[in-house]
Amino acid sequence: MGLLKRSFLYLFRKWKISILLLLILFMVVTLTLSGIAVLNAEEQKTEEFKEATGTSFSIERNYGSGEMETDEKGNTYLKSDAITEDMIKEIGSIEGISGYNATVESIACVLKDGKYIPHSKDDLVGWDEVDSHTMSITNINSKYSNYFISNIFELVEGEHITEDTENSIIVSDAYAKKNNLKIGDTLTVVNDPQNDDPFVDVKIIGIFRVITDAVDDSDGKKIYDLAAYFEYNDYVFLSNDLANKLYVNYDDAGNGVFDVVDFYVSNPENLDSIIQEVKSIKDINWKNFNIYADDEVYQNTEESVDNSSTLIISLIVIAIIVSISIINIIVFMSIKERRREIGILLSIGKSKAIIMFQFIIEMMIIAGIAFTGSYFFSKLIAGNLGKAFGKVAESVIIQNEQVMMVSVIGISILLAIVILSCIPIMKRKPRIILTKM
Amino acid sequence: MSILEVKDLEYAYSRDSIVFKNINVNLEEGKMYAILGHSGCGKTTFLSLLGGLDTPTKGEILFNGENIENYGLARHRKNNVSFIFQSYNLIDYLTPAENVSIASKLPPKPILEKVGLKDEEIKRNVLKLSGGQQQRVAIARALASEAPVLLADEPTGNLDEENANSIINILKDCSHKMNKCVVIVTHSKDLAKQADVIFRLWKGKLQIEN
Repeated sequence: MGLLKRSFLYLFRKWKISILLLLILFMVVTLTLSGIAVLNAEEQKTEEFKEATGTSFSIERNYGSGEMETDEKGNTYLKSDAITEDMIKEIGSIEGISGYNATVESIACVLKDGKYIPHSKDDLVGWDEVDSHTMSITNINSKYSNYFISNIFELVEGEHITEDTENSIIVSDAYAKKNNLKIGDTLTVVNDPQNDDPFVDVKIIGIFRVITDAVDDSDGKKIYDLAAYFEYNDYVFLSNDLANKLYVNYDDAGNGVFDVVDFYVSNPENLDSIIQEVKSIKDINWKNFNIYADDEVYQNTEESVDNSSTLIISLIVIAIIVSISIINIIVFMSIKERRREIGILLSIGKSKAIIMFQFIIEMMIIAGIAFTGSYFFSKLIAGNLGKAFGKVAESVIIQNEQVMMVSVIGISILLAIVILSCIPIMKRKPRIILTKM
Repeated sequence: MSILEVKDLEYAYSRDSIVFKNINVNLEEGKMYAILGHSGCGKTTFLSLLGGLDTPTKGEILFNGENIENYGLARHRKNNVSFIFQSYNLIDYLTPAENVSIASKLPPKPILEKVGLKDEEIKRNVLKLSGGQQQRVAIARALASEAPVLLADEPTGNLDEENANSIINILKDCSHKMNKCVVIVTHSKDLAKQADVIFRLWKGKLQIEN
């Protein structure tokens, strides 16, 4: 009778112990594979988050630094230096900065075919100019806008505003639906029709949707609080060139002048050193500007990621240790109980190596079934397990490299368990093994 | 001609605990040998040394003139000797046929039938057989190996008289009809009387009993 046949006969006829080992292995491998997949998804999400948002610092004009002056039309301005395009480009060229967005926030009235169109809020007062007020945000790169970065808004159609975009606007889906707007439609915007501001034709290049109920708290750090008066659905994003065309009557807007600029760094760990480098630029009078780091989202996310990862790793490690201990005990006891069989096989001339090899084959058959089953079962449940840790099910993928790694490590551990369990018996002389039965 | 030669054999657990020493004996094919002796005198140890299950402290055992240690003890156990134990020593998850098959590539059924097992008993789990039937399976396994030397340690120790007589007859056939060298360790004088040569292990010496 061959070794393989003997191994299969043992596994089938001693099915209780075989099933027990199979189940334990199946559970621990499934848990390990799924856990690693969730961990990977966590890591990938963090990397994507780092790449997409990194973390940012903002520079805004220091409204407490200089005197204000009022022009003949009654507009009040800050006299000190403004944020300029040159300044933005100089800072933006520092290594480690992945992108930036400068904004001017104001109010814009929007017209279609020469008629004011209402904002999405229902509190219309019946005065067209007032009812068409929107929160306007002029951008250099709208994809780096805090609203998009922080997943408050999501571009669902069309494209973002970039530095090269001209006469373009992005509106919300609710606003577009209310006013029958679509990509490619031409609208007219005006900053303040009562102030003889110019009317400028713009084209809709993108539509966003509001994906969160989060409150815009960015104004807590700023002087203005325009956002408090507008629904998110009534935000419109304007291309940067429009600032020069819309705000011709104002000295502190347009002409390459901005209220606030956000810079994003590719690696959050470098944030402080980059800010120090920015502060060391000598031709910027830092008395006129405030600079503040914004890595709260990153820190919170990192902390959350760390906590989840620690929890998952702990679960995997505990499961592995407990399982290995149980498997070790079962295998040790089982081999000890097979002392008679070992003695018989030795007495008929089988070598110790062959006998040990039979035990290894038996374990490998169980492991093969358990690992294969776990691979397919993990594929089924990993997504749901990922959901429990706040992951998108589709992002939790069992990768072949991980299966290979778990298999190699698992099989090595099982081999070690079998060999170590055999040693106490195998080191004895056949006569001793037979007499101790 | 001697198939097994024992020369100056000595076995000791320690310097002060010598089980036997200076044993010289030649064992021939076609004869049945019985070794008598009281419990703990070293009968099973002597049989184990003949079978290569242990190594002597001094001396040597030659099989067809070659030292079994040089030949390889596992190889000696595989090719030259077969064992029958008092406690049958069958593998519990195998059927009688499978137990026989682990020692030989020969078809197990004729051998099992030869030692008196019926067809349905051959397929049954060994633990569901009686003691006598289990010992027949153990003998069948020993015969299947085709080794010229059969070493039996108290083969009838756990059997009733009827089964014991049957087993003794099978062993006698092994030596006289199958030309094997059968060495039986036993307490039983009745069994020993059936042997061609009786040895007694007494005070560390192996003596021929008259």
